Amino acid sequence: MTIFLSLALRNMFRNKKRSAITLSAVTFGLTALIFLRGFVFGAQAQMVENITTSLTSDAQIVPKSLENIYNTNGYIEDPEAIRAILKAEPRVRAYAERVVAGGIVSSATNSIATFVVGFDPGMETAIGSRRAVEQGRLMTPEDSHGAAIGDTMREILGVDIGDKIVVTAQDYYGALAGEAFTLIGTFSTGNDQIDNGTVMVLNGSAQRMLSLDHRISKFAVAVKDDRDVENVVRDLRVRMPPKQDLKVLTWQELIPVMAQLINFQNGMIFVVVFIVLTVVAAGILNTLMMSIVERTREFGLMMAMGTKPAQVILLVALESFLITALGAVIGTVLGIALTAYVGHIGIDLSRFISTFSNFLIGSHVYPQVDWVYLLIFLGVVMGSNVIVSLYPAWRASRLDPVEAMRQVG
Amino acid sequence: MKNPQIQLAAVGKTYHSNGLPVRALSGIDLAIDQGSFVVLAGPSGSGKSTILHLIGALDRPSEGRVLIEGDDLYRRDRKELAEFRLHQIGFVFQAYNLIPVLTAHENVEYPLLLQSVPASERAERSEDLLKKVGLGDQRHKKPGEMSGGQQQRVAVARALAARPSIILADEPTANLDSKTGSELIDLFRSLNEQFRVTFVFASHDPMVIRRAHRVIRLKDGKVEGEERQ
Repeated sequence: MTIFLSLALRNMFRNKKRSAITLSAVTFGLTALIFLRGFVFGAQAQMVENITTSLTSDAQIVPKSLENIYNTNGYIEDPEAIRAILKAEPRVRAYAERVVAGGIVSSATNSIATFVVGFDPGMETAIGSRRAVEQGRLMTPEDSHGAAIGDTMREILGVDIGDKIVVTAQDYYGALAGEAFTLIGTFSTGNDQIDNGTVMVLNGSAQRMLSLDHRISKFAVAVKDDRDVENVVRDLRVRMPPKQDLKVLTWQELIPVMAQLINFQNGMIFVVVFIVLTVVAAGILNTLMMSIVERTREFGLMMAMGTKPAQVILLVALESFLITALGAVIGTVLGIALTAYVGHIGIDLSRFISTFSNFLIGSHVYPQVDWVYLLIFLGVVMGSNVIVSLYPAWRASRLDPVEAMRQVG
Repeated sequence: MKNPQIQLAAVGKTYHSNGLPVRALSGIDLAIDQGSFVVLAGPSGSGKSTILHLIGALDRPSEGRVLIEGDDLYRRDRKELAEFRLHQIGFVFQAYNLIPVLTAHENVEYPLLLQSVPASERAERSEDLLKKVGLGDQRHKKPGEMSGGQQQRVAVARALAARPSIILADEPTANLDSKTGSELIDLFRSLNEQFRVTFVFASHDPMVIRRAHRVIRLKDGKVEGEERQ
């Protein structure tokens, strides 16, 4: 074995040009894959971060009628029981209570359909919701007759900070309810549906207007450790009071289209992996076949001296393994370095922002190394190239020593 | 009666060149006892090398049998033939057939590594043999750094290293000066006498022919005559 390892190491750079081509193919392929995955992974992380901080948090407890975030007008009858459960769960970092209803918002000049979202500023801060103003100021617990809307909605309604807007919605008992609010601030998330169609008011205001009494629509739950979300959700499901008919949902269940988009992107990566690896493997196969043709006489000699066919296969496979391993090391280092560097400065996608903003990706994407995929790429690159080397190795092992030694070498 | 070490019984060999059959050997009957020092002599194309390849398990006869110690060699599979070559046969080829990436010392050690000979013994045998072929100070050179004659002597040392019972040499002195060639044959003779290693040469060299126990003359793939001396 040692002699074949030693031979393989020395044979690796016998034809420097060819080895350089093989090495570059593996290196470039792996660097490109690590970076591409890093880009997608960074964008996904940002998307998930935006979804969980702007919309859903890690999980939500909702009445059955609000299984999808786009549904409205379902209420939790006894929120106090749920508060007790959440307070008793040590893995829950914080929770926020929200009210959601469908309605119409009107100014003196225009009216549009909207979600009326009630929130508690202190609780939202505690769960890490992103709150920023485009114009005006952030709402405080004192703004019981104030509202915040998306900046694009403000343009549609033709209102300014300090102006009145009137919100009309169906109350808890099915009657039409309405109330005027003063515009305190505007926000801009980049997501059209949010920016065009959300009026934010305090929970107390929403409860008052909709005659909800103590009822709320949902709890947004932030979990201390992201990796615990699934387990926490599973445990909370068991603890929900049966008569309230509530659901505990992860953000993926609340916005399935986003979860599907992420799964689709992950699947597409493997299509790219397949294409890149096919090209790299074809390069390795070609190199090995040429190398074997050039060294036919040498293989004949080795077999004449008693080298067994399996040992010839071992030698060729080792040569392929070593050059692939070297390329893999360089490719991994370059891939990590490139991803880390670009991850530090970010990629400016502002030209395409109108396309991406609805997926909740910001104007800059910050790639980050996905270590799990990196290991998968390494395994697949190494495995496929060693498998590819078996054919030329087998061909070499089947050479007729006499014929092989007749070759002009 | 004891079997001859090497026996060729009605051996024929036909090659195909560009789709046309070429008769290389026909009706060869030959018996070589252990400890012989035999030269196959004859013009180019007479079948000398083909016989060496058949004895050395490198080729298969088209007809007839090759027996080693009475055992039909070509009943064995590829792996067993490789094993046979490794333990029983030492080859010295006409051209300089060394592994180019290995040093002289490593080339000599190669068959010993395949035989799993311990490192200290490998080093000892390799050093000893390289000294015997006059290359004690060239052991770290690679084939590309040595002359043709030096490379041939390394190939001889390698053939001897594995202590085979049969050494097959195809024109071993063809690329050596007469003094080195003569010394090489002296070495072969001493091994032949000391250890009863069988030597079968294919050679034109009168010096080699003169010093053989037995000369088998070939022509057009047939045995034309034989002399014992």
